[in-house]
Amino acid sequence: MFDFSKHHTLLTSLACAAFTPELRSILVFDAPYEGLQRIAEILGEMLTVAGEQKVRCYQLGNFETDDDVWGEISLPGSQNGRGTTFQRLFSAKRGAEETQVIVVPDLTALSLAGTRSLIVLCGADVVHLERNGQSEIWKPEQCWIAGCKSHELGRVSPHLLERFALRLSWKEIAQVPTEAEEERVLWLMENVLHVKRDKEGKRVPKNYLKQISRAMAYESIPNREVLRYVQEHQVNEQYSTRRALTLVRFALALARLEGAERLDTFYINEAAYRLGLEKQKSGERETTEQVEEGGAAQVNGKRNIEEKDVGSEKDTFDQVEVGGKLQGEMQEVQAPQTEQSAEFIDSGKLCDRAYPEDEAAIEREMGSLKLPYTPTTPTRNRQGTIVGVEESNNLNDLALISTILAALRMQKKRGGMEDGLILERSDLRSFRRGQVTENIFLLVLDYTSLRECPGWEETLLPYLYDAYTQRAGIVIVKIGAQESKSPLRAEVTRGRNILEPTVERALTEKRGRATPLAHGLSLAYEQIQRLLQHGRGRAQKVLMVVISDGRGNVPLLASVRGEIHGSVGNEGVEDALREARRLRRLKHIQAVVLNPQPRYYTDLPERLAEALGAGIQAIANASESLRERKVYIQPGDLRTSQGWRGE
Amino acid sequence: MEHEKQITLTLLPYTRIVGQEKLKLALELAYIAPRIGGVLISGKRGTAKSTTVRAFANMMYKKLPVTIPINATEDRVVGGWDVHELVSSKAKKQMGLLEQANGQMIYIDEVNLLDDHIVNILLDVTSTGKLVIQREGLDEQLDIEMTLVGTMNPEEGGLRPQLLDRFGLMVGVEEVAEEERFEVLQTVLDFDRAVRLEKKGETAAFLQEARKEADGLRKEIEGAKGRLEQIQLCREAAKMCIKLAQGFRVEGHRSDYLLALAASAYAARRGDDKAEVEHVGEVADLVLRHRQAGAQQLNYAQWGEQEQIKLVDLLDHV
Repeated sequence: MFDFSKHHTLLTSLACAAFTPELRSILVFDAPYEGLQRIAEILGEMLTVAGEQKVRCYQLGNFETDDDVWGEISLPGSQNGRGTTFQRLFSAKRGAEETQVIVVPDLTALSLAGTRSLIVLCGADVVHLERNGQSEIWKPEQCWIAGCKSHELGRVSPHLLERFALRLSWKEIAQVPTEAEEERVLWLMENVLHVKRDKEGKRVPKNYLKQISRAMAYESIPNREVLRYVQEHQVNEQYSTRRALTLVRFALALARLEGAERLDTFYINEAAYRLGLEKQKSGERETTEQVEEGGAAQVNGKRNIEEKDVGSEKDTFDQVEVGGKLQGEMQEVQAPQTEQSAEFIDSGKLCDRAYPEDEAAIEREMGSLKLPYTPTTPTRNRQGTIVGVEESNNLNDLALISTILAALRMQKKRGGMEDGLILERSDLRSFRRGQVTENIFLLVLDYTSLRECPGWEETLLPYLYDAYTQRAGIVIVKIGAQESKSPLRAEVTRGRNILEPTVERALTEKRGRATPLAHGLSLAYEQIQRLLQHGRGRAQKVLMVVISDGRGNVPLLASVRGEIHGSVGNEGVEDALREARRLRRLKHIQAVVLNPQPRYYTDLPERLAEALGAGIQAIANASESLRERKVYIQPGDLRTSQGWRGE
Repeated sequence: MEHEKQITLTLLPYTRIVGQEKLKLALELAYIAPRIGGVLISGKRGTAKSTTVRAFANMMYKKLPVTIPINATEDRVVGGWDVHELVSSKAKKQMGLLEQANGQMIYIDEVNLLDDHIVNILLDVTSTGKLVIQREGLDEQLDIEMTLVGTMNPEEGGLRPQLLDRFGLMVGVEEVAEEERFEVLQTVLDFDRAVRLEKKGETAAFLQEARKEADGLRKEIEGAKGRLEQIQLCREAAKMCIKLAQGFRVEGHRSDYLLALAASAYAARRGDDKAEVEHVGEVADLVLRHRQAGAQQLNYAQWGEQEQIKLVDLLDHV
């Protein structure tokens, strides 16, 4: 009898997804691209056995438009002599001919068109396509495998994340005592995801596939007591029908995989543990024979599954190759012993926490799923990323192909084609572009200089307000923040506008101990260069505000190396001033230093401002009244009286 | 068509949807009195919004609702030429979605993600009652009457106030009450099993019984629609409509009318002869939720304990 506890958690869970359509949306955290591909291939092989037609893998990336995904008319006569065809990824016809496995390498970088298509398709009962003359309705049955870095989860809308039934942590499914990523990847690929194909070109062992097709014939029925158990024990505080259903469906799939006739609490507990809803395995089930002890993935106690022959063949599941060892008897999964003596453990979990997005800090902007706002008046510079096509009544930013295709439909009626294409105003199409950020607000914030400087936020506020009204993009260089990954290095946070939650979080961080000022200014230099010089959507102007007392105590080399040796003297200060002079040479930036008025080394902020070529403004400290504050520059002055450097 | 029929067979029947009584009531009232103008359903993902709308349409119209998806283009919404025929030198008109939905429900899933351009077209048609097609050489004007139903997740942004105003009723949907959660689980799993059985060609008692009940419910609602014109709104109820609108500081007089209409539809639904104050009280939150002062931004279109206390207070002081 098949016992799923003897096989790697990942493979058995993918098997469950293969024959349970509601589980075919998987979010994978921190996986390399090859890992996502391999998971897609494995799932594809399993789907074939689960009765699905031809399985094909596709990828959705960061550049697809609506026309790529949903189709646009192709040139007549180009496809098998037919008059018109639509080239598209999703359609009723494609859905009828093949089962699609869609891989999204990075959910945070998915194009807007791709994101909106995922919203419409993933987990939906029915899809309507009403575009460019096409009108179709069908039931979508794609499988979705999306990658996402766990620390970037806050950048994805929960409205999107809720569509994924299963969560899978790459780090969890192959735990190693070291953090050696390569070792983990290698072990997982070789021992679980089966790098080598067999003679028939399959990765998944044959008897495994056989069990999946057998599981299709089973129908485990949940009874009321089990469902009450789910209600009382397994749901977390924030109840969700969808999540409760996922738990039960996953448990049902495990039961079917084992050929169990009924769903009991054992499977609920097993499913909950795998999903990360439970910290430890709990619950026992009645077994007819005692299972050997030891190992991470084993069943304690007894089982209630009836021992019976399934099919006429002798059940050879116990001989599935696990961890490079052929197992002739029912044994627990052992960690394979490699020459490096790494002990790889199957934790039995797919993810440490079932729904990590519930605790992720919000880092996305509001309305991230909406199409970008299109101004009614044409702008001179249309440099934003192309996100689609829209009708137009002028020749600005013409989308040539779409215009021609629009005209093509009417040519017969207009009597065109032989003498050339007849274009009318109604055919004109222009590109729909993402928002262009022309102004950048770059804040270099030295947290360690704010100790006796309670008025810094008030002094900064006019600049923030200015950034808001200018719809400026935001870059914050954080120097000496307590939460930095390395105290010797500065970090950069970016936001599309001042309202993003990441900006607020950056402004409220606590101070650390070291002040890598030179590294922070070096990062500022890199950021400005990139923003002003690279890409189609490059910015036009940068306002840089530096809040620092100039007392950098980490030399630039120490920041680069990540380690510091001996005493540094004034090397940190000198390095910072040198980087400041480098910044001064850049064009199209306007800089101001907000002086925290330190008690010691009072000349350093002014030296820093001089090196930057910046104006200077004092921040009120605790002992100074408003009237005594020395104010040299107001934000509005930067654009009017002084102009922008470089113009 | 056959394909669509296959899909409708896999929809959870309306009579098997657990809870969500306010949502169901709003859909039924909008059907009984189409002049109400439509229903906006706001709630998080996984709260059976789309399921309920499709199930209701399947029950009443015997098919899926005409649907505007978020990536719809103008030619499909308004109507135009059949592309395949056109390139083959035949000028054959392709009916747009608005024309298809004439006299019926038109459904927009994720209405707050709809393209601004399509929103403008919807606003135009719903406010004037006329569909003007002037594109690609076409020149037509049609009278259109339809019930606009939209679903949305408010976390992804609000609606323009002009579009919000086109919806006569608004429902805020939340997760089911604790005592209903068990029934929801049981129902969905029974439904999953029933669909699997039907796909294998077997008979599923679960679905057969549900469809029979749906037939009965449809006749009830059709009967209520037929009785609507005979329902009289009593004077006290009419005064209460005005009082509630004033109490919740609603601008304009449209909400007075909608309260009266919704109360009459509710009375017809219940099989009563007259619309009384109690009927007005039952439908007040559906009409006033998105019209009360401060509700222009959808984040503030709440109906919580405070609003309910205010309503009870106003109703008590008749």
